[in-house]
Amino acid sequence: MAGPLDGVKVVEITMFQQGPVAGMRLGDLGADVIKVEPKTGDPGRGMMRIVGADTGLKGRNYYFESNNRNKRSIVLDLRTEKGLGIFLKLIDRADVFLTNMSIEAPQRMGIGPEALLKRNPRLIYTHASGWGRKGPDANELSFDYTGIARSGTMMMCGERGGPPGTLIPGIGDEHGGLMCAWAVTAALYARERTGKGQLVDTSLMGSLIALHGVNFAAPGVLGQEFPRLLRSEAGNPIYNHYKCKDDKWIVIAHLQPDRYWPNVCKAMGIEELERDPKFSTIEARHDNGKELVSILDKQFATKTRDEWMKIFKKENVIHTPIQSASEVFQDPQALANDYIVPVDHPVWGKIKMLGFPWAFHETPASVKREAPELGQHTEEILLELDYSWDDIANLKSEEVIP
Amino acid sequence: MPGPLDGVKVVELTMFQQGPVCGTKLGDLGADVIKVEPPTGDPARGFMRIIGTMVGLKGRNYYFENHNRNKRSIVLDLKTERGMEVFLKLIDRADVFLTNLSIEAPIKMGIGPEVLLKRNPRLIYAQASGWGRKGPDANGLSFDYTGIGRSGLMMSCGERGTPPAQILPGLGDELGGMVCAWAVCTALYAREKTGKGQLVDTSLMGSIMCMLSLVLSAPAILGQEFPRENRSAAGNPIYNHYRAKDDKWFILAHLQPDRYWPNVCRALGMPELEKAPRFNSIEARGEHAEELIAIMDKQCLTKTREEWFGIFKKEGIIYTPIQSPREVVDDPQALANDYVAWFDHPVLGRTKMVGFPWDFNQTPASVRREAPEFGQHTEEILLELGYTWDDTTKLRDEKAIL
Repeated sequence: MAGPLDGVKVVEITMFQQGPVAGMRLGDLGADVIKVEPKTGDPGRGMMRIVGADTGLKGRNYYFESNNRNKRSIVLDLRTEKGLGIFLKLIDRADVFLTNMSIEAPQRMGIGPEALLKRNPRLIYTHASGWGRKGPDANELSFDYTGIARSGTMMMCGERGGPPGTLIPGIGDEHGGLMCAWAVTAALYARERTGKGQLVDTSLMGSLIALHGVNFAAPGVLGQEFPRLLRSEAGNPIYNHYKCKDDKWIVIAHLQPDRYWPNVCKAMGIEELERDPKFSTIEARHDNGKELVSILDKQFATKTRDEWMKIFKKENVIHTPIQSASEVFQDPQALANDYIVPVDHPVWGKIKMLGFPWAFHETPASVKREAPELGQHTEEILLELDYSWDDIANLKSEEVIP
Repeated sequence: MPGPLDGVKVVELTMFQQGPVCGTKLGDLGADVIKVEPPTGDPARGFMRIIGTMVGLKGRNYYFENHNRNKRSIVLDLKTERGMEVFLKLIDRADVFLTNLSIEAPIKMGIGPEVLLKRNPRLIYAQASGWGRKGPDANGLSFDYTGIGRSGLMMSCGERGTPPAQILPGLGDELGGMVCAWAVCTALYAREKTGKGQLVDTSLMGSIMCMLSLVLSAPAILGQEFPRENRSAAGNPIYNHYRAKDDKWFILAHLQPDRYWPNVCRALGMPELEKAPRFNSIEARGEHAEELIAIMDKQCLTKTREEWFGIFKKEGIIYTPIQSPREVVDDPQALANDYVAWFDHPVLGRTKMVGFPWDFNQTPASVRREAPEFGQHTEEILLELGYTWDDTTKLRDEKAIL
């Protein structure tokens, strides 16, 4: 079965992460994605050197690989007339153009929204920027890090009174890419009825604000913030996380706390507290939160996480392990639902990759190809555009393509 | 101009956050969304009491308000024969059925995917669960907290070697709702080509993992984790965050650090370090990072954030403020792009709400109505289904509606 975007043609000029992720997800959904790269390539190809991390692994880097599967690569020099001509031929046949350059860049290159939508009125012209098309900072540079800082993410992570939370990089760009790919699907659906393409903007900033919707609803509606949390003083101590004997952490999550309080007491061997007026109601546990958390801290430290999980299962306590990235990758639940999928990679052999967040029962997503080598499909794509081998040789000698 | 999903009819049976967010976003995109509630209502209507927070504000709570705008509410008792009959009439005319009940619940109620898709083969049946339809824990309970714990987010935030990071609640459910809404858009597009509806599953776990795709790719592909960060020992000290004199934090974000190093030295008033061999290359700064960060920490404490920004702008430094949620909702950039938008609420008055992460220039998203009062549209919707006022009275007598 083909994916839901089977037959959709996407052309992207993207770099690093936000744009590439959007294209990759459209590819997961079945679209034919052509990545147009300059001769120097997407700088994401060299990302690991930039951040000073060692990737090695047979000349591929997982950053580029993760963001560019399900694409073909064509190298074109858009500063040459012929290079631009080929690009425009691709656009004439495309359903979607996708870019994450700065807002002004495509205009300067002569491929702004007006120019391309005039050529191809059915085109979805999608621009995933840092800060959106409007406003005082529309043209500013942005990276994942600036997005998560300015959009509030770092101030929503970490403890009350503590410094901003430190995050592993990449979450913001990844999320921005998802929001952009979503916008493309909505615009494609709209085109089915209107017959028209359009310009669609998304940004790192807007995507992150949407992600934290409920936490902005507080200052937006109430004019006051929902305070950052403090584990040791949790208002509902049985909706909190604790450290076990083996230094592994566990979440217990009861949003009907009065119903579950007896189960928790029994499971944790603190039956004497069940009817203790200091702890026996939502309000009492809130008022004496600090004391109860410290009692629970001591109890949790007496058994390993596995031991607790067995007891919790028996006593019907709602719980979950706090997993590291490596643990997530072993999680049978993640594997069963294709959140992680095995991939046969031509260079790396059998590996696991992130799979899909959606399960379409009639039009499934799939990983059909690994990230392309720079310009791997230049000739193949030119042949599809009806260039002959002679033409290709000429383009090479004129240095329009490498 | 109508939104991209103009004309799409959504029926939802949802509660708390993940499902409701999905419905609201479909409503933002122009769909007509009918929220079917049991006579006890979506429990989120009383959410603020559960978590022990005062909302007050004229009998509305921002949690419910944020997740239920752009919907109409009908109250139906699906345990009565007549109530179920009305529900099925709604399904017969719907394009999308959306639920975040547990995987088994709709099947037990007699409204599982097989039953509804048989009645209406063009239906998109979307279920946003906790852990997906398959796997050992498909029927395990889940909440935002369990999702972010198990899927790796808490271990991707916070400093290396410290406990799992506190994360303000709601982010996981919010993301899960958006990924589900994206899946619905995609399935609607596929239906234009195939003529068929389908079952689409998304989950909290799959959605969070999708956002952590890059973080999770390291253990997947390399078999090792990308280490958590450590601010005081950041490998690239001019891609790091610092505290100003007024306790406000900001970010320096230079991914071409050698190019910008002289600017940073000049701006921070440490020109003597520019040519110091300990610091004057990527590698040198990486090796002496702790020393350099300590120096920069001291420098940054000598001026307020505003003062620094004045200097940084002049010196061509790439920087951004680390904003609190309250600062974000006042950010002119966020307002200019409708990431945060003003809205005239009939009860709350003129208020800000989180707007939209996408800007469609032909088919814009919009907030057309506030979250509905409980059962506010029961009669209106019944009349649309062809029921008369007499029928409505009978349904009320039979307790199928309120």
